[in-house]
Amino acid sequence: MAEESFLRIKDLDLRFYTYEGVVEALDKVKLSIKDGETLGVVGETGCGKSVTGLSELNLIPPPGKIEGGRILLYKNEKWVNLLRQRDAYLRNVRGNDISMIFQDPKSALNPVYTVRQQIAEAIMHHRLEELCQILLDESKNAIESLKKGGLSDREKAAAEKSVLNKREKRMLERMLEDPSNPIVRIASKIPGLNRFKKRFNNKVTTEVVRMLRDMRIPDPERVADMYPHELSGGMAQRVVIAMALSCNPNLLIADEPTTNLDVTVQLQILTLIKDLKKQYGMTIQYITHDMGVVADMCDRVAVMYAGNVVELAEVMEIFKNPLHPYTRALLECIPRPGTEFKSIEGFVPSLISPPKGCRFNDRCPFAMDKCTRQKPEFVTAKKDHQVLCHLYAGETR
Amino acid sequence: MSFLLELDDLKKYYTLTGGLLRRKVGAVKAVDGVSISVRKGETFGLVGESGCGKTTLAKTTLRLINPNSGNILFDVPDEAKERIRTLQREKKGGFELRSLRRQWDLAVFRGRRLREMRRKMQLVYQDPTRSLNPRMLVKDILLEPLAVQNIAKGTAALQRVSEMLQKVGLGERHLYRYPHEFSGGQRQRIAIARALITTPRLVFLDEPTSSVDVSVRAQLLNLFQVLRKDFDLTYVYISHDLSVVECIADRVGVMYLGKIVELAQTPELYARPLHPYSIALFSAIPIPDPTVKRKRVVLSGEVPSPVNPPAGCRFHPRCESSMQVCQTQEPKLVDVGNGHFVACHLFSK
Amino acid sequence: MVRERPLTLTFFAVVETILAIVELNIGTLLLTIGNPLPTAFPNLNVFLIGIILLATGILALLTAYYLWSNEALGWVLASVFLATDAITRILLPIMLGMQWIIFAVFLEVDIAILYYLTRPSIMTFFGGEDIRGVLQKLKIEMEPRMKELRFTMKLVRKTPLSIIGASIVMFYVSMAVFAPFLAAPGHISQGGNPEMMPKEGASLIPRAPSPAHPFGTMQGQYDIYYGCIWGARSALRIGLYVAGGSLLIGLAIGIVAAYYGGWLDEVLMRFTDIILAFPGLILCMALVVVLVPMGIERLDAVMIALVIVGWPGYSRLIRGEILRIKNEDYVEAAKSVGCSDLRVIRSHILPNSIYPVLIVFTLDLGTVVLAAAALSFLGLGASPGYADWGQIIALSLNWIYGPPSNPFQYWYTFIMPGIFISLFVLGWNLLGDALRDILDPTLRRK
Repeated sequence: MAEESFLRIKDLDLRFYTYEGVVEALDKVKLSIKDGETLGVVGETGCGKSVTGLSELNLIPPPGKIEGGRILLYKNEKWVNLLRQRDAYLRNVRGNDISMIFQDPKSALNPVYTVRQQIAEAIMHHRLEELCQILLDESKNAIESLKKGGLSDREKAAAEKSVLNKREKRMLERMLEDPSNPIVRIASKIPGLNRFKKRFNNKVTTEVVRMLRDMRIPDPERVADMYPHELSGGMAQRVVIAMALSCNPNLLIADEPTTNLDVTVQLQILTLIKDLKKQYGMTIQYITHDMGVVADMCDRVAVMYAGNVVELAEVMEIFKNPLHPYTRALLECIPRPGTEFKSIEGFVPSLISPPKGCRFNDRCPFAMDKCTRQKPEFVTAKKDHQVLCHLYAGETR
Repeated sequence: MSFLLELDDLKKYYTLTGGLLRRKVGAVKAVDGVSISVRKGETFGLVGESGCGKTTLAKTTLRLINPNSGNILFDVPDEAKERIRTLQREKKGGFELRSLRRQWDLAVFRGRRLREMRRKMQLVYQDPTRSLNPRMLVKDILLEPLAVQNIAKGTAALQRVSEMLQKVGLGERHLYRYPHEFSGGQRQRIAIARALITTPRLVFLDEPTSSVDVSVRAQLLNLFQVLRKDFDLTYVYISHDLSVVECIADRVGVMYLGKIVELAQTPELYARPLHPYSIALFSAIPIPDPTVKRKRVVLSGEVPSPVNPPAGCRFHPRCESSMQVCQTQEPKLVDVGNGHFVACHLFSK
Repeated sequence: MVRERPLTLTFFAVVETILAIVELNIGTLLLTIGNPLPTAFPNLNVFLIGIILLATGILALLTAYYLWSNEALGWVLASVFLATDAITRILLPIMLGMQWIIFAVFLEVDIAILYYLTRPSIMTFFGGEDIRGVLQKLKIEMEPRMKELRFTMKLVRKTPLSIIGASIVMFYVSMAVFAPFLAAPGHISQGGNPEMMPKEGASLIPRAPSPAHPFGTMQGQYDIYYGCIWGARSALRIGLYVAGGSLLIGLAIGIVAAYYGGWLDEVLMRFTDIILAFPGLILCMALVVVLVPMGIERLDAVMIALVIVGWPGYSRLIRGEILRIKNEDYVEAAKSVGCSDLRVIRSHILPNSIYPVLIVFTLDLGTVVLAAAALSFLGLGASPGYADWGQIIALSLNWIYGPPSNPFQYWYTFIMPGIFISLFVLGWNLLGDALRDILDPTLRRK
C-alpha cells in the first residue's frame, strides 16, 4: 500500500467570481498523494496552494466555485469523486478521512469553549458509536471477569466501576442505534436519568486527555479545561492538531501551521508532526512557502505558481535538479551570506486575465516564442519527476 | 565618534495593577537593562523570538514608548557621554547631570527637542498594511513628515516626494493612489520612503520582510543595501528570521526575555554560538537542503512570558546545561574575545 | 525651483472661507427659524433658499479647502463656483425683481477673484500653465477618488434597499421644499404663520376625507392634509437640529475622552453614564417640564431635551472607535514622524473612525422624529395646531376607537400621519443601513 496513490486531484479548475472580475485561481491542477508520504506543496502568496487544500475538503467559500475536474479519494476499496458527493457524505469524510489544520491556531479555536469541549465535539461527531460500543464491551468484560473471579482488590474495584446497570445499558444501546433518539436526548438532561451520559462524557474526556498527552502537552488535564486565550501559540497549535487527529484521519492537510510561530516553537511542532506521523501512520499534505521546512519534512514536493502545479518530484530531486525555471529561481532567491540577493524580476500575473500560454513566461529567463501562445503540458521529464514546461515537452518517458 | 547610538542599561517595565485599590502586583519587564552600541554605517541585527522585547526596545529608543530608566545617547560627543556616565557611576545626580542629560540624553528630551530628534531616527514597521493610513493618498502620506518637520512645503515638497518614490522603485503615477491598491512589497516600499523622506541618520527596520514573499524579499533587501549607501544610513535590523539577518547584518545581538544574551560579529556568532539559547535558536532554523543532517536542539516548554521571569538566569528552566548558580544569580555580559559577548555562567570567569 | 504659495491665493482662500461660513450660517438660520423678517420679505420660500444657501456654503467651503492645498480640484471648483455665483447675482434681480439688487453688490469680488485665477502664475501653482494643464492634473488627481466613487456606486446598486431608502428621503425633502405649492398657506386661521394648520370651523368631531380636505380634518377642524405636508418641514428641522446637535456635542466629548484617556476619560464617561442611566423618554419629559416654564418655546424645549439625552450615545460610539484606532500602527507611525496630537486626531484618527458615527447619524434623523412625535403624543410637544405629525396624532387620541358599530370610523386621524411618520423613519433607516454596508471598511472589500 505504500506506493499506491491515496488521493488524486485531476484537472481541478477553481474560479472566484469577484467585483473586479473572474479570478482563475486554479487551472487544471493535477496532484496525487501516495499513502504514507509527506507531500509538500510550495509556492508564494496567491499561487493557489491553500485553496487546493480547501478544495479537497470542498470548503471553498463563495464567491469561489469549483468549475471542473475531479478529486478522487480511495475509500472503502474504491475511488470516490469528492466533488460529486452530498454534504452528508462529505461531513463524514471531513475529520474522519481528511483533516485540516490552519495557519493561525488562535482563530481555529472557538474562544468561548474550553479545549475539552472543542476536541470532544470532533470526537462526538465521528466516534460516538465506537465509544458507546467500548463502554458496553467494557461492561461485558468486567462482568465476565468478576464472575471468573481471582482478581486483586484493585482490579475488582476497577471492574465494578465499569459495570453498567440495566438502565444505563439500555440507554447506551439506544444511543448506539440512533444518537438523535429523543428519549436519549431528554434523558441525558434529567439529573436522575443521565448517569449513562456522564459515563459517556467521562469516556470522551479520557480520550481528549489522551490526545493532549500524545501531543506532548504537559499537564493535559489542566490544559483541557483552559480557554483558547489562555494558551500560547505553540500550545494552541498542538490543541488544533489534537482536534484534527482525534478521529484518526488518513490524510492530514497542514496549511502553513508554523508560519506564525516562533522558530524554536516551530521546531517543536515540526518534530511533533514527524513523531505523530510515525505513531498514527498518517499521510500528510504540507502546504508552506518555506523551502527550509520542505527540506526538513517532505518526501515529495509539488511546486505551484499562479494556479498551476509547475513541478512535482521527490525532495532530493527538487533541490538538486530543479527543472522548472520558477523552481530554480525560487531556490536561488534563498538568501546566502556573502552573495548578492537574487530576486525574480517582474510580478505574479493577475489571475483575472491570466496570460495565454505559460503563466510564468513573462518572468522566465528561458521563455520561447511558444511559451506566450501555448500552455505547456504536464510531462514526465525523468523518472518520478514531472514538469509543466515547454523546455521538457517531448521528453516523456 | 564612531558610535552613533548608545543605549545604557535601558529599562522598560509595564506595571500590572490588580485588586480593588489598583495596587501594583507585578511588572512586565519588557526591556530589562539593555546596553548596546551601534556604529555609524553598520547594520546591527537584533534577533529573538516573540516576547523577547526587541520591538519594545526599538520603540523605546525612538521614544514612542517612554523608558523607565537608562540613557539613550544618539549622536553625542564622546566627552559628554563620558561625563554623563562618570556622574551616574559616582551617583552624583545633581544639577550638572540633569542639564547634561537634558541636552544630550534622548531618554529625557521633551517638546521641541524631542520632535527635532524624530527627524534623525525613523522606524519601518513590520506590516505595511497596518502602518499606512488606508484613507490617505500616497502623496499625503509622504508629504506629512515634510510638513510636520518643516522641511519643505508646496511644490518643493512634492518634488522631494517624487524623487523619493523613484529611489524606492515606484513612480510619479503612484502618488495619487490609496495604499490598498498596491501589493505587499510595494506598500513596504512606500513605508520605507516615508521613513527616509526626512533623511534620518538611523533607521530601525522591524521585521520589514516577514510579511512579503520570498522573491520580493530579495528585492527589498537589495533596496536596503542601495539606500544605505546612497543616504549614508545606519540600520538596526530586527528580525526572527535568522537566515536573512546572517546576510545583511554586520553585528548581531540575541535577545531573550528583555535581555541581551549574546552579541558578536555576524560570521563569528553564526559559526560559534556560545549561549545555550543561541545554540537552540540557530539549530531551529530550517535549512533548505535536504542532505544536511544536523543535531537539532529541541527546547522544552514555551517561551515564557515576561511577566514573572525566572529568578537568576532567565533561561535556566529550559537550559540543558544549567547549574546551581544559574538559578540564583543573573549572568552579566562578558567579553570572551574577538568582540564576542555572552551572558552565561558557563563563560563568566 | 522653490515656489512659494502666492499671497493672493491665501487671501482668496480666506475670503472663500468667510463666505462659506456666512452662507452656511444664514442657510441654517433660515431653515431652523424661518422667515426672519416676514414684513420685509413676505412670500419668502425659506426652505428653498435655506437649502440653496447650505449647498452653496458647502461648495464654498470645499473650494476654500482645496485652495489651501494646491490641488487642481480647488482651482476648478473655485472657478466654477465663482462663475455660477457671478451669473446668479446678475440674473437674480433681472428675473425676480429689483429687491434682489443687493446681491449684485459682491459681484465685483467674484469677478476679481476669477481674474486672478486665470493668471498664469497662479495656474502653474495648481499644476498647469493653462487650462488644459490644470484639467490634466485634475484628471490624475480625481482618478483614485473616482475609482472609489465608482466602487461605492456599484455597491449602492447592489443593495436595492439603499435606493429605496434614498428615494423615500428625497421624497420627503422635496415635499418639505415644495410645501407651499402642495398645500397653500394663507388661511386666516393661521394668523400669518404657515407653520400652523388651517382651521375651518370649531367642531370637535373629525370629518371624513372630502375634496376640500383630502385627508379629512381632525379634532378642532384642522386640515390633516396640510398638517402632513408641512409636517415634513418640522420633521426635517427637528431631525437635523437634534441629531446634528447630539453629534457635535458627542463628538467633542468623546474625542477628548478617548484620546487623552486617564482621569479625564473617567470623569467624562461617568458623566455620560449618568445621563444614560435614565430611560431616555422619561428624562426628556422631565427636562421639557423644567425648560418650558423658563420661557423656552415648547418645541425648542423638546429639541434641547432630545439633544441632551442623545449626545451620550455618540460620545460612547466615537470613543470606542478611537480607542480601537489609537493603537493602530499608522497612528504610531505618524507620531514617530513628529505629528502633534491635533494633527494625529485630525488626519489619522477621525477619518478612520467617523464612519460608524455618520451611519448612526442618518439612523438618528429618523429616530429623533419618532421620539419627538412620542413626546407630542404625550402632550409635551408642539403647541396645538402646529403642523407636526406627532401633534396630529396627539389630537387624535380620543378618536382612535370610534363608536362600537364602526370602530375605524375616524381612521384618517391617525393612520395618515402615522403613515407619514413610519415612512419617514423607514426611509432614514434604510439609508443608514445601506450606508453601513457601503462605508464599513470590513464589509466593503468583499
